[in-house]
Amino acid sequence: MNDFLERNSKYIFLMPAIILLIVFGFFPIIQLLRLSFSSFTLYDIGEKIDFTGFKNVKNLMGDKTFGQSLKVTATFVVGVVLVELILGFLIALAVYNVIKRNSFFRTVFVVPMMVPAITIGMIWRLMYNTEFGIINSVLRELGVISPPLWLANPDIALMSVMVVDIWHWTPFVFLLIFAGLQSIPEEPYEAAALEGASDSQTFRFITLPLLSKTIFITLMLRTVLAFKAFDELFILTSGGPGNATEIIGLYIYKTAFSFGKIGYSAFLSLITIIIMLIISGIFRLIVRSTS
Amino acid sequence: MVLFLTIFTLQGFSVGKQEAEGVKEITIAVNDSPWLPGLKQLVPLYEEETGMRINFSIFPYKGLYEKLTTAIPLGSKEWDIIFLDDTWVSLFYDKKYLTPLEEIDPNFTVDPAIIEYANVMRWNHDKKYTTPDGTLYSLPINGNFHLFYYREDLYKEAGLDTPPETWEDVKEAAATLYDPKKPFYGYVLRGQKGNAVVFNFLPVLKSFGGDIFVDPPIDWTVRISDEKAVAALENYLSLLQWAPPGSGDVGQSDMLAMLSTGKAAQGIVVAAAVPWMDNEETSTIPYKMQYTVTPKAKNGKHAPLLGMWVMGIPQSISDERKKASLEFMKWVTSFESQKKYTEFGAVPVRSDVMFSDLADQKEFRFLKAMGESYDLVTERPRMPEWFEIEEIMGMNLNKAVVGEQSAQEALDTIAEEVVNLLEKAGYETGIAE
Amino acid sequence: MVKKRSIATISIVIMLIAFVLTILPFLWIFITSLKKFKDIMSGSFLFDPTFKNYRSLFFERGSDFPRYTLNSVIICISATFLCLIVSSLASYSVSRFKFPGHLDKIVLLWTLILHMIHPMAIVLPVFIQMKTLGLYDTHLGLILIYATIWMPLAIWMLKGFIEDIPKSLQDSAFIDGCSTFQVFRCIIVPLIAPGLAATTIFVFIFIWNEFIFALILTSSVKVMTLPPGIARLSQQYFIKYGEMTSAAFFSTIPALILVLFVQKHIVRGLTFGAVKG
Repeated sequence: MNDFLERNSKYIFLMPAIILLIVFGFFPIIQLLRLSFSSFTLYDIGEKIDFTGFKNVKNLMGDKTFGQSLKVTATFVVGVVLVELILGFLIALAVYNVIKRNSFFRTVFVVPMMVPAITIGMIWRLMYNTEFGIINSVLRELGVISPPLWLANPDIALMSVMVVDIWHWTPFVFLLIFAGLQSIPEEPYEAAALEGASDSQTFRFITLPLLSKTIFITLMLRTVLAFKAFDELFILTSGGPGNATEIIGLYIYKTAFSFGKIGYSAFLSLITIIIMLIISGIFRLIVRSTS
Repeated sequence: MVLFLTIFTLQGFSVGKQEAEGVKEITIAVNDSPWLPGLKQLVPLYEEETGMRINFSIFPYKGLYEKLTTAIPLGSKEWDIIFLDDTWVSLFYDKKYLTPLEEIDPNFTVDPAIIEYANVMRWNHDKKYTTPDGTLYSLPINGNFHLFYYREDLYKEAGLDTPPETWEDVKEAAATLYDPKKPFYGYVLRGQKGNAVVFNFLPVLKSFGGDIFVDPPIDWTVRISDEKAVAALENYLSLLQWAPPGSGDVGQSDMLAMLSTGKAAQGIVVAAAVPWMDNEETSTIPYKMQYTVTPKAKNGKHAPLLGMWVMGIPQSISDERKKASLEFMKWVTSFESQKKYTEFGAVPVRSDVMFSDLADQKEFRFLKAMGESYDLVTERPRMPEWFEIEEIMGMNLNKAVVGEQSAQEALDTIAEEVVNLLEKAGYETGIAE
Repeated sequence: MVKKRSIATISIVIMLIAFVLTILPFLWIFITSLKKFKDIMSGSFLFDPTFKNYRSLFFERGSDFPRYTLNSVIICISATFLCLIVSSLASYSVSRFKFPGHLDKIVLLWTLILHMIHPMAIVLPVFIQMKTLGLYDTHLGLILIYATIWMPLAIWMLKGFIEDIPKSLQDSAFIDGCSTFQVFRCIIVPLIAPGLAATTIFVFIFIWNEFIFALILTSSVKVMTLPPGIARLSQQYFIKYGEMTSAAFFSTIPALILVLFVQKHIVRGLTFGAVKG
């Protein structure tokens, strides 16, 4: 018996995951595919899903809003991921340098992630409020005559929304990179010190390479999550003003529930997944070629 | 492991007890709203009278629609009564998810004192619209519509006539009361994109004699870009000069806050928000706000817009439960119940309550304005495409508010896109000249 | 010497600035939760503090929030636990072993795709499936779907940490006669302890704050979790900022407790179980 378990251990280890995937991760994906090629609406719930082939592709071609939404999403994702990566990395390094095994700061910096997205949206909306918001109140005290319309001005609304995301998710980058730093064994550092390496040399040739995998994973995960952003923006701006902050998630939601076009919405999700797969594929190619 | 098993066994004891002997409980699907506390205070009286227990299944407003549209079509038996926003009714009526009330009780008639609210309770399956001769599917439970809120004390101080009747009166007051130094705003409008600005603009549009369609459901010609509409939008935009900057992002609760903390003089707001103006916790100006019918253009008409809720009975439950639900609905819309309902802070659905002695009390002074408005109410078109139309309108009206488009441009874009939308959906339509 | 000191100073400065920026909005949430509505709306700094918001949410009879909290706790702890166990086992086997027919690559791709799907897109199919399986409006239903949805995240995170462990350590353990499970428990797990801790924290926080599935898959107070409960406070006409911020503030407490717990016990506990050499 033990022999059998040991010989097939790798399958046994993988089994629970596969079970969950098949039971809960299979049917929804199949349904998503079926819906993507249908014209199923909110009015059709309870009936069979029809098949309309590539009608949704035609719909997509005439959909200017989707293109706009993609642009907004791209700006959003690139912006927040870059900033969060740099900030999170800096903070992780800083904390690690000062106190290697510390829990207090680690807990504190994780706090923004712990607040429910809906509340983050609400609270920042309150802070950004042109009349009552704390930000503009402080600015007025400092003498600024007409403080910016953070969420009403189409030119800066996206930026304001990005700041919220950065506040919310930099802890994610911080935690991962900090964990990565903690996992680096002492030996390479000791060896480097013995050889008289400078700090920047140590950093460039030891820390960075050893962290590269962590950084890569953080980047990938954070990017996918940024693409899926929804909750905070839903509350902050619902996509406004105009379409300035309507990222993909918001558009998909609107198409499905406000317009009732569940089939088309599923198709849009499919397109988004394909785009994300392509991007991550490109990522991996770049990483592979530079290592 | 132990945790798992405990959870598993606990599941066994939840749903399913309803269909047994006599109906002892009613479960209502509702959203968490300002009038829910009023309803919660009212139902113990029913429970005492009849021994029936009332349960509430409470959902967030942003979520109730998703909940109902996924559960009800799949035949959910969880709820005996569901509450619907008036823009959701077309889906539920058309697909017959609700039980016609006359099917449950052939002798049932709607009490004449219950307000018709532009036929919201009835649906004509041939015309696919709410008409006076349609099948009766629901009763109103929250008679909410627009009122015009204005600071009577400030009007009187400035020597202005009250109440304001036309948009000229309103603009005169706005200009007089506007004080950029404080700042105190002469008007507050709800310009946030989407449902917000559409809801705030439609009463203005109709008060100039304009409308979206010529005559639904007979004539779907789009007239949203005709001269009356342009005049209405330009009027609306002219109020911006006395309104807070950033009006393009002002939502319902911002608007309420400006009024209740004494930062703005007047605006079009729903009746359900009246309690906020006097409540010690939310208002710095208790009892100073006054209410009247929404203003009209000189050659136009008063046209407050509906933002109400109805209650219906799902088709999927047993006949016994349907009867119990109807009994409750009858009780809650009776004069006595509605009077108490109003006292508990909700908005009544009967006109006789509006003319009762309640209207003379300071806290319920808004009933006078409601009494003057209820037979003038207008509605948003009750069609499945409404949300998409609202999206188009919301987008472009918001652009006009933030100055990205002129009134004519915004309305022309709306007209074009709405016609496109409807033609794709199979309607016969065009742009009116 | 000089260089070391200046790096330390810069580090401290960065830390302090980050600390302040992180804490400020959170502090604002806390302060708002103590204000009456008109004070919130006036944006003033001075006000009469009141605990009414907390009282009405948690101590008033008929308030559903205590129950929502209990549900969240049960569901999130169970789901996190399940997810982490399944994911760490899977992650290890996929990182370290070859499978016939590229089974491992298929599983990884599958999880990646699952991870990339917007929850909105599969809410409806999942709802139908749960109803069919009789898991609608049950704790178990949510636990299982949450564990599945966050499995990709956990697997990919843990994979990175596992792959950082030199193969030599593992190989020598096998040579010493350890079984796969022993290698897993005695070598891998302790060495990825910080990563495991981070992953646990993430998964728990994501599940704790998850909104859309909680909304669609629950209906009764018996099962509903905190996020839809908190959403109730954003009403059609009115956002109850006072109550919402108190609910939010309260809602971060379990997450905080968990993070502290994870750091104190799990990390230490796992590292102590390490077999050296």
